[in-house]
Amino acid sequence: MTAQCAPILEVRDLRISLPASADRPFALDGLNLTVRPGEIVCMVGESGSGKSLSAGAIMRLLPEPQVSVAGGSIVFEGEDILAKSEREMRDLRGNRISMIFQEPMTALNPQKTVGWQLDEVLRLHMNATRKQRYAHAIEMLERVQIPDPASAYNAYPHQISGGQRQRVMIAMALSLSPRLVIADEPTTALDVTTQLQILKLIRELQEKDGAGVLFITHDFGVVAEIADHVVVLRDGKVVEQGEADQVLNHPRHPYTQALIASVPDLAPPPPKPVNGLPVVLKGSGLNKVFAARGGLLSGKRKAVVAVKDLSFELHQGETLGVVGESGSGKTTVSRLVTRLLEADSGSVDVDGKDLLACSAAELRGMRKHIQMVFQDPMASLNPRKRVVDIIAQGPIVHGEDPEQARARARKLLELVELSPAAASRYPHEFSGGQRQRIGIARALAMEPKVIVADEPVSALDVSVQAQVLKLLADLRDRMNLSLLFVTHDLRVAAQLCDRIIVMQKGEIVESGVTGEVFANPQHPYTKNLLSSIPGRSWTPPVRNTDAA
Amino acid sequence: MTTVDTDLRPAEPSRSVMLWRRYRRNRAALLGLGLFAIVVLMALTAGLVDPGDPLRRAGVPLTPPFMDAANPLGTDQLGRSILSQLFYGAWISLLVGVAATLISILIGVVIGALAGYFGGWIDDLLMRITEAFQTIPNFVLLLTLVAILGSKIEWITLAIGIVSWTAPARMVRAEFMSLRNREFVDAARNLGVSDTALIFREILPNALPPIIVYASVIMALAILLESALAFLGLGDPNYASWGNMIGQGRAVLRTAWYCAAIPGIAIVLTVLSFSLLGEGLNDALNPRQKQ
Amino acid sequence: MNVKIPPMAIYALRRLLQAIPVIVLIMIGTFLLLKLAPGDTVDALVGDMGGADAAFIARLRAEYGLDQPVWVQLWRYMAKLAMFDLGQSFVYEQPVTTVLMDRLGTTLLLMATSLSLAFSVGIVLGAIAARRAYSLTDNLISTLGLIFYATPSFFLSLMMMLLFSVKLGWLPVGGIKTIAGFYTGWDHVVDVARHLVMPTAALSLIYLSFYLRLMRSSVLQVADQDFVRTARAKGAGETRLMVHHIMRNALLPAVTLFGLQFSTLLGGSVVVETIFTLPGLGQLAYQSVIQRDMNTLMGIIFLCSIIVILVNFLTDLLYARLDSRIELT
Repeated sequence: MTAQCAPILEVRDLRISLPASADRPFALDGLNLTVRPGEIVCMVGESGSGKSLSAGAIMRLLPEPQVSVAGGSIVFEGEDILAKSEREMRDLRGNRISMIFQEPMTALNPQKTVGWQLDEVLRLHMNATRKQRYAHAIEMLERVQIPDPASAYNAYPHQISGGQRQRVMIAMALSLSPRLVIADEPTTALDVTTQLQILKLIRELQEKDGAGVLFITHDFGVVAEIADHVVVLRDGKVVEQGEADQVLNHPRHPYTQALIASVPDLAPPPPKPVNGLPVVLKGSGLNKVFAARGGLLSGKRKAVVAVKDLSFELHQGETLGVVGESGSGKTTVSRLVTRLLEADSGSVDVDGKDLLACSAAELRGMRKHIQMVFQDPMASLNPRKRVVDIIAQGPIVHGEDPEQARARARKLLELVELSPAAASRYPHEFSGGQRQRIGIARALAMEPKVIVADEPVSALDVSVQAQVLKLLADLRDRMNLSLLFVTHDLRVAAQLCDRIIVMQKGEIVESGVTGEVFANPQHPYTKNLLSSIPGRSWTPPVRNTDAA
Repeated sequence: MTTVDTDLRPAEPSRSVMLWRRYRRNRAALLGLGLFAIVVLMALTAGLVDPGDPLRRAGVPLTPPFMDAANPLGTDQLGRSILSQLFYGAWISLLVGVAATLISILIGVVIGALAGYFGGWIDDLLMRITEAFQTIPNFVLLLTLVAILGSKIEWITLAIGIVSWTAPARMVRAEFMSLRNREFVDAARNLGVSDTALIFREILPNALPPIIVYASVIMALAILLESALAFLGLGDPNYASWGNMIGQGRAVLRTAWYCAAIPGIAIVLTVLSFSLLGEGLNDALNPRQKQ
Repeated sequence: MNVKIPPMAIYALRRLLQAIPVIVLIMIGTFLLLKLAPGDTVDALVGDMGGADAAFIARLRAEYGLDQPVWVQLWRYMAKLAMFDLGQSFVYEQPVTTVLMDRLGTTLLLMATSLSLAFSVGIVLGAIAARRAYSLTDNLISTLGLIFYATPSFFLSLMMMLLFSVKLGWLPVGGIKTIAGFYTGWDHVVDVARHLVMPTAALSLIYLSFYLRLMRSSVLQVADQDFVRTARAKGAGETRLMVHHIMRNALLPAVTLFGLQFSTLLGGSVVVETIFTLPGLGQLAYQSVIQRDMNTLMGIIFLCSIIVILVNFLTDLLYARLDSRIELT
């Protein structure tokens, strides 16, 4: 429970100014927040809301002079942070206030061992011998549950996994028992199962040391999982704040309500009867091994079994979800099924004909039956082509009259809810969500039998994500599309997919109707996956799907 | 206060306008552009400044600059006007520079694109050849080619192109290797686009901007190579060349150092202009939010 | 039985094996160049002798194996190259190998001193410029770097000669030693050093600009990276950041550049040696072009290539040692 002691951190009216070329004058305009001992305060917002910069301001690590504090006060343990000298700040950093960053891949110096970097923070603040520091570091590694701490100490960052790197970051941040821990999206880059472990770890360590945690995130599920207090940011302004229970279940501000409404709940759609429907896509015995390289003349690489003996069926009008974490092989499946990657063996029957057995000439003709929507909105559209040309390219390649194809492209833009004025523009003039809509229009232009969607919304902000998913659902229902939907996000799978297959290390471990799998998982991995969804016990209150 | 995703941003001006705007914010880049314009002007107006042969005797040998109205920059030891040679030298430098750069980029793009796109044994073979060319010091190879082919301006240009293609080839290869796995290429392949169309219409237009920026570096190097050759007396004797002027000026360094200094400064400023131009283009194409 | 070969040795072996196809290609290349050259060995000999009749020429050709099919000639040529038999120089009337070995030392000395200076000074200046980016110091350093980058080596050498030899008389105009001096021991060393100051300075200043510019951009890039921010958040001061985090990572591209550029740098010695009349490989190359001594020219190409491959090999090993991300096994 929150202690009655004095607050650790008090931020009043904080303003952070941006350089003249930015899209608004203040990154943060009037932030008020308080963190008490033993409390976790979550700062929620979408990208560009200013949340990361507030963390930087508290540590006095803003990229000055372009971005700097323009007003307000930050008081840490009764002392004014903004009045301190750089030397005093250096004493505080890592010692009384510490920070955990988002990207574990890049947050550690690749040229120094894990142990050296752990030792660094001890060396800077602790007055102890080398042996004492080593013992302390090993103890920290044990507390964050790193297997075999002694060899991890001597390892380089690239030799340990992403999840372990984040644990090391936590160990570094907590090794001197700081009073305030700022965690900037520490679990966003991790797998769902790892994510839950890390969240639990932060909570445990914090409870033991009685520290206050300022946790920055965009994921309301995470908020539901760990927050005591919530602050909601939009474009630099606080739109709502209060007790977690209050904000999550009774949001007052329309923006908060819209954000929460955008979080897909875990109630699956009613099951569709599929038994009478024809099978439009059938994968049988698909295998793919990324070969090992080795020997004297080239670099070594171990063989990786990406996909092992995979078989599935997709019926007409059905949405089949392929769910798994990174390394499960789900992306490989999407590439095998569209023959963007050659399978080692197996077959993919599209409407009865085996795609993998086609010759080059036949393949071209077959391509129009199975189209793909890609994950990265930044990379999936050719930056040098106009939107209308991007959408019309497929039909033109297959012989349609260019003028007709372009006219149809404009109609498709309307279908994906973009103004026809978009046709003559270039991809960089659109937002991420808009680019994904263009990608969907491109796939639809070929009038395919099957659409394979490879994580189409994972790179988007939550509110935009909801809108794009709604679009997909609408189109699917209207045009009776058959969708193979690859995702790592179980909430999204629950919202959109009729049936799902769960993959682990290249194999299907479980499959079935979404509702049944979620309610009654059989395989231990599925159970683990489902229980790792942050905030799974929380049901978003507002069932408002109209975000227009 | 909802977050509507489908509203379009206001239309942006065309790409070239945006590029120019970003370019002109950079003072050093503008300086480069200005110097470049001066050099081009010199080259183009050479015929107007001195309609005759720049290598003819135009005055008393070793006249210092600003003494003789007919030869404003003085004369060298053979009585040739330094001003005329300067202007005609600009013409040669630019001509050789542009032509050699085109040759090296052409070879580089073909080899780099094939190696980067296809990979496998094609890449291995082409990379070994590239390495072989890179291993031989390029000036030594240049000397050898000039020894074999002779000193005519066409052969010199070709030779400079031949010793310079490895850097653009590596660059194109790297670009192709990174672009070939981009999702928009996969998307095009998924639509049924053929290999040739993928290389030329999808990947190449995206690979070109860094190549074009790099062309300025190659130009600079080509001019340095040509002038070095001319300095050593291996250039084409029928044309005025800055390197040649410096080579001749070496003999009279003690007394008439301006014979070597003036063309030398011209080379420095020209190469400088290309460097600044290239850097300015690079910064304009890849805006970073620093400064 | 499991013999534990150190991973570095395996890596070294791998790199050496990869160098072989390149050497073979170069050998074939030089052979082709020789064939392309107008006139061949026999023509040169005959020219020396002042002419001969057709039958004699034909016999000479047979003796030199020049009437054999191209493949046989290529094979013989490559076999000889592999033994470092580079043929005969008609100008010096000695085996090419001997001529080259005489000159090798001077060039290596010049190269080694210029490169060490250029690399070390360039790196330090580049780092300083980056740390004080956009300030007066940075502008000064960057501008100087740019100017030296744009200056041809021969022009810089001439201007230095003008200033230090002609006007001030501090340094000798050329050569590797004072011929009439007959210095020995320490005096000899000082004498050679005085002669090498200007050539080394000329080369160093120009090479320095490459490393300066690269280092500046490398440091700026690394300073932006996440792990530097992490270190700051731990309370690290600027010096610690610079030494342990930034430089440690920013040096890597400089090492790579060194390897990639060494062959160009070796070519730079041609002009400088010629101007300062230093008896090195570079000046030899120039004279061989003038005198049409193709055998020597090919020999220089071959020897230089071997040196470049060796330097690249050592640089690769150094890089593998420095970059912890490279898995050697």
